[in-house]
Amino acid sequence: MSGIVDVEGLSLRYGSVRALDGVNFTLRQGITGVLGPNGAGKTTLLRCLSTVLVPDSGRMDILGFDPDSLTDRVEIRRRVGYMPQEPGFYASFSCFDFLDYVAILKEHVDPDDRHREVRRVIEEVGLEEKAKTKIRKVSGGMRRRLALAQALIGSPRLLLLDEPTAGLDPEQRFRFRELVSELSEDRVVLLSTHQTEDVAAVCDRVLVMAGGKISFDGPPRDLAQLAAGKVWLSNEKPSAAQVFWRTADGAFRGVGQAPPGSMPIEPTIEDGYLLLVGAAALAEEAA
Amino acid sequence: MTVTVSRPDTFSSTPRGWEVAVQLAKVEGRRILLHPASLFTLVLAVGAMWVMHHGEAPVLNRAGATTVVPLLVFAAGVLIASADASARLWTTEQSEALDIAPASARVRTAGLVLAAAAPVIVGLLLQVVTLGVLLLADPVTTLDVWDFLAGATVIALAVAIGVAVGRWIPSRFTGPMTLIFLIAVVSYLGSYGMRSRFGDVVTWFAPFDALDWEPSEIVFRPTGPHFIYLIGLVGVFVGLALLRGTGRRWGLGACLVVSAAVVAAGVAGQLSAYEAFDEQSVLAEHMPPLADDVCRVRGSVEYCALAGYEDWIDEWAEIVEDVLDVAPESVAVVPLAVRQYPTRLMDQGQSFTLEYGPGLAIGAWWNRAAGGLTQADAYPFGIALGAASWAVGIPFERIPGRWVWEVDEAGNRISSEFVTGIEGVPKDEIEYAPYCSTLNQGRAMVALWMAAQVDQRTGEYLSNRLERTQAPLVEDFVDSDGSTFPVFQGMLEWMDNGQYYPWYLVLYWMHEAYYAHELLDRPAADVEALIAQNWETLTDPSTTTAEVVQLLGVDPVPGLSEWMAAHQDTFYEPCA
Repeated sequence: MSGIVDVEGLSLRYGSVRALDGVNFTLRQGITGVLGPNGAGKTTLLRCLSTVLVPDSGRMDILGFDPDSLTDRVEIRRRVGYMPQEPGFYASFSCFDFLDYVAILKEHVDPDDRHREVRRVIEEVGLEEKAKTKIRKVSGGMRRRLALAQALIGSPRLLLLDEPTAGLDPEQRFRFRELVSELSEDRVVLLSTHQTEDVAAVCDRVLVMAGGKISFDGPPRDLAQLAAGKVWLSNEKPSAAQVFWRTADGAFRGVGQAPPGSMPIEPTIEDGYLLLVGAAALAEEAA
Repeated sequence: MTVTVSRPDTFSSTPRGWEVAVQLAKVEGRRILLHPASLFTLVLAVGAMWVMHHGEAPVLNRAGATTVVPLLVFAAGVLIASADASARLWTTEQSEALDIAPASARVRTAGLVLAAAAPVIVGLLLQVVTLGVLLLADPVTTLDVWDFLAGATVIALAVAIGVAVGRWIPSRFTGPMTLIFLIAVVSYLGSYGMRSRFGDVVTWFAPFDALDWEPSEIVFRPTGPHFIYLIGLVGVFVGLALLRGTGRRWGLGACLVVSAAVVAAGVAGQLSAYEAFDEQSVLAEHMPPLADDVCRVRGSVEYCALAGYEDWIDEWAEIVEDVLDVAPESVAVVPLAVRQYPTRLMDQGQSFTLEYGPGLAIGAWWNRAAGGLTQADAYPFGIALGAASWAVGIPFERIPGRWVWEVDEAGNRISSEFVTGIEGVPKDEIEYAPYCSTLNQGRAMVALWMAAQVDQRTGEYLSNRLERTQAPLVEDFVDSDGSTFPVFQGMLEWMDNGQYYPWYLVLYWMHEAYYAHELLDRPAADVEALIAQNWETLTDPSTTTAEVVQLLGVDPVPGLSEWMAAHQDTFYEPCA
């Protein structure tokens, strides 16, 4: 393997729970989406890649550095932008001050350059009007943008985004897709999400995780094709199908074994995902 | 949303850790200063600076009260702010994104420690402004540089402690709890029990000995070793803060050892300085005649100040001359000595005044309001009353044979002869020193007026003292059960002692003070003329207060029966 990120046999346990179980993949330039139900290991994977967690076993090569080495780990951190699933903020800081603070911790020592960089990322995420507002006074959506902005400081070559669109309204999600697609022109973006639409919209590759393992690795269209011939519409309520629901026009749309009299339709990435992770995962997510 | 495409690789060159720490320090320093605890205590410190110096003679070398005590208040707020900043950086709820930022834990802690520069600079500015104001007012004595530096060091120490405790116990409660603990420790070190067991030196193991407010030329203070001690403590706490990090620690360990050695050197310096200190020798150096004393003669009065205090002579002379202007020429030309003594010496008893002869004695603590704890007007009034009493002939010194100490089984007691003369004096004061009573002497009334008429301060002081004595004033006595005892006869409440020492031996009473105050309502020239015309009679020791009241035409206070009749409605509680 000779990607920008190479991962081999990555494993990590939380007590008796196997969060990662021999994960292998390679990342190259572009946007890679990570899909999976809760507890599949998505966040753990991103935390390992960002050097927050040290895996129990396996090997990682991130941007040419070995995270097992203390020196290399610092080099990785200098080149990685990480947006955690639950970013912690200093509520008494203004948005600008917080980003300025993060920029200092990211070793931006020239005040003029640093402030310019902070203004740039604020502009990129569209937070100009809230720059001087205390974080405690901004909405949840604004905070997600702020979390993204801090990850963008320093134009990192590897962006690790954990649930970046959670809590965003449709317009904000559209803007986010636009931004991420721009960012991916010259860097690697790993995007963990539950939103299959986001993956379909911006990712050129998708990893599907379940039980700490990667169960699918390929382009989104291939994920969708997993469900080819297994997605259908029926006027009758099916008796056996993995997943089905009533559509707005009264028909039943299902994924799985097609019932008699049903009409096959073109599968989406969501269909492929559902077929892959199974109804149990869906039920867990719905809960 | 506008998307900017240009994204340079900003990590092409790696900055050094100290550069990051400096930038972090700028941000954290500003935030520490703007922390509500810092702002609140800074306002308190400024207020304390003003209160401590407002309306009193400026003294440079009294750093304990000049600048450091208010800065201790500021340091307390800074400690809380620093602990908050440190806890914020290390609390477990913080973002993982900040956790993995490349700045190391040690660099972050170093940045917090360097942030001390901001509050230290503010503290120094406050000190400089205060000293500047003092310098404009012609202060006496010279500045103790070690004390000055201790003020800034105390703030640095507060930051170091705050960062260290916040680093090890990251919680919002860490700062306040640490402050409470430190206050308890400082209070314990300054307690009587600790002082009596280990000596005064224990107070210097606190950040600052705030209890010692006296000028350092007289009262011993190991300010140099104490400064070294503080510097060492700063190093120790910085080391403790940095200890909780990653990477090699041998260099840090060496720094901790060096800091601990500096602390030990400071402790040893303080202890050895105290061991070598001989208070009696130091006091003896200040006993008059002292070659270093500065004496100036103005008119018939010689004023002698301790070295460094000579600028106060003009203030003393101005008051004394205003008093003597009222007296006849024959009195004003009689030589009078006004001499300054170490305050500590004056507190030790009356022996030195007997040894060195009569004269007006002024302490080194002259005109010191001490943060409003004492009334600064007492000092000019004390000098004025001393000069006035001397002018009317009230004796300066204890008259041999008049009061006799008797030793009985109960310990030292004064003779029954003396007790009879000053029946209103509390017993504990009787045991402290013998007194000369001016009860029913008309010249005391004249002296009190001469002192009170000098200026607004002396007049207001007499008024305040009369107001503070709440008892009604009556002229006669009442019989009860066949015995006779004085009713509501009280002496004039004690003026702050130590500033007019010979006159501490003289009692002034309410009646004379009341009549003197009544005279203040009249034109001073009229009273002055009356006094000049009747000087011999007024200053005769046998002339009673009632005779002077009649002579000067003052309305006498009512008799008891008259007073009770006037207050009948409120005086009696009807029987049910």
